[in-house]
Amino acid sequence: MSVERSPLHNPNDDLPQARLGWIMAAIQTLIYAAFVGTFIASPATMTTPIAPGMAVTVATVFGLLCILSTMVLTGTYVLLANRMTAR
Amino acid sequence: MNRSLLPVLVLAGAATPALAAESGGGMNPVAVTMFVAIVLVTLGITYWAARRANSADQFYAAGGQISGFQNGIALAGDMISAGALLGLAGLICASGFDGLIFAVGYATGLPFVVFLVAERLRKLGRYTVADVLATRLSETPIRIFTAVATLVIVMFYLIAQMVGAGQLIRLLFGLDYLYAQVLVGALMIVYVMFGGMVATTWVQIVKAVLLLGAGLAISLLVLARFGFDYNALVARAIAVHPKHEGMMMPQAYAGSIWQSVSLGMTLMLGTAGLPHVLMRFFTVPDARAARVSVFWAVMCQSGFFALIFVLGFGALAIVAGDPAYLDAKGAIRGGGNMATIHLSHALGGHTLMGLVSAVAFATILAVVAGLTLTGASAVSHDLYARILGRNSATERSEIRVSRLATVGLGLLSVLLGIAFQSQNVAYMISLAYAVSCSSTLPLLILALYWRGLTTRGAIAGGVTGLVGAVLLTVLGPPVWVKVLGNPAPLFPLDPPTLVTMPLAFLTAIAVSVMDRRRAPSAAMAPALSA
Repeated sequence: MSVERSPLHNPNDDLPQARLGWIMAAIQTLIYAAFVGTFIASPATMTTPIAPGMAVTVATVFGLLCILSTMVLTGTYVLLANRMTAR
Repeated sequence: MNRSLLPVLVLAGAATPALAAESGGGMNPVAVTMFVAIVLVTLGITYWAARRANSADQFYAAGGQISGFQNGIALAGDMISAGALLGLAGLICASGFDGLIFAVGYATGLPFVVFLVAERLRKLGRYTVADVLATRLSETPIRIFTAVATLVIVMFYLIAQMVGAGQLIRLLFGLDYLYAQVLVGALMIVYVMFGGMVATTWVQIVKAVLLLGAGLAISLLVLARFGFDYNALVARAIAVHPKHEGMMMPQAYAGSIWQSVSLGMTLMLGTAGLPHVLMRFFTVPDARAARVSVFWAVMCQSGFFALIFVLGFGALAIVAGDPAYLDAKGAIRGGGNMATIHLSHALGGHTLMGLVSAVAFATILAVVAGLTLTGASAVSHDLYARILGRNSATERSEIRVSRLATVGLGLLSVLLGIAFQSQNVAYMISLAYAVSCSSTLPLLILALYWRGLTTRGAIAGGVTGLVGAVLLTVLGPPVWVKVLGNPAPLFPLDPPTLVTMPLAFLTAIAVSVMDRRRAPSAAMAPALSA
């Protein structure tokens, strides 16, 4: 494709962290899809207490971990991307 | 009933003005003092900003001088509306875990913005999303389309916020709905018109700090009441809720699979297409600062949504279990949106309740100001400066138009806020998110990552997504059933994202491919001129 060779086209495509961004987005989607998907596929799993006699359910912990994952993934991405672009 | 949970964040419950004096109303001196203090501080910020907001760069993007950290806090402020502070706790009181579904869904949206959009946006754009798309595509049609999509999203979002604000202020301060509309409208016009992005950003920062502080304080007090035993808190919440253990299963995911997937998708992806969120990335100096700002925004936003796991169950355990906060029918007095306010009263008396009420008010002001600025920019920068007045517009006239547009949008939203006072506006946020997922987001992702996108493809895909999202929302449960009162929806999903987003992507790709096959050079020309 001749278009793709155009050097003027879009300099942003060369950002080194572009691939990293997609990988992180995929991981985030997987984590969230697992949260939503488990509710759809097996609601009983999600509403089970984390230990016998406890009130806190699997979904409560899963949900909090899901939120925590947004912080961890974003932090990792920013650290790596800053390092990549600091050349 | 369980279909339209997204809109709960609107705050537009069936609020009753009759709130007993001992736990709310306009007589709370702390609330009134804080309320006045917030108005004075924000007007002070505007006065300070007004001396700087005289160039287009300052007006739209604060001169690119906001630091990554500051912008991150402001961005978190944009994301956490009063609906998140008040609506989610109310939703947890009413239907349990559903409120947490929204907390988790919204939290996962912002990381996407940093992974895929923020840096490229900052590199390519100046003031608006259309600037970015216009670097790749033919300018006039893409600006017209993006401006229309922006205005659709902003207006629906704004009306929902205004109606919610009117009802909330009436409850919190005993102010008449009409006065509340005029007050909020006037303040937001002043912030945006005189202070532009500088004032809007700082108002948002003040609000975000207050909001995070209030959320943290309430959560700690809730945990303290249960001896810092989270399990005891949840156990009490389960005991109080009429469905007991059943409330740990969200109704949002108890229906059809497609419904659950469509809602899940919308919550996660909607954020990345909201124009008032995207516009924030033009206020920082460079792409690196854009990246850093989303990092801080994610920390604040996710931290806040994690607090909802304490605050929401706390409202259920403490407020919904205390007859003092319930009406004769056992529902929360003043409606679900009052749950957090009652909770602060239960934990810290009139002082804390006054503080939290004032924080809710600041939150409303900051969110509507951000929305108005975004809408005004679409009118003055995209439609006026770049299209209608392309040959005659100067920076001065552009700023004049943006101020006029601010007044116009402000007046319009006050009028619509009054017109929709007693209407069910819950669908409007749902609609804004669906339109965002189905029009601005697909165009942005394709423009940033796919070289094959042509102008014709972008417009075809964007229009299909926009029209599809509006049409299917009207034919779906939120309007067809809940507003028009029909027994069954013609289209089952609410929001319709699962259908309309792929449709927008496919249309844009198919039309682009056909376009390029017909005229191979068409795709290159705009890129070369950019």
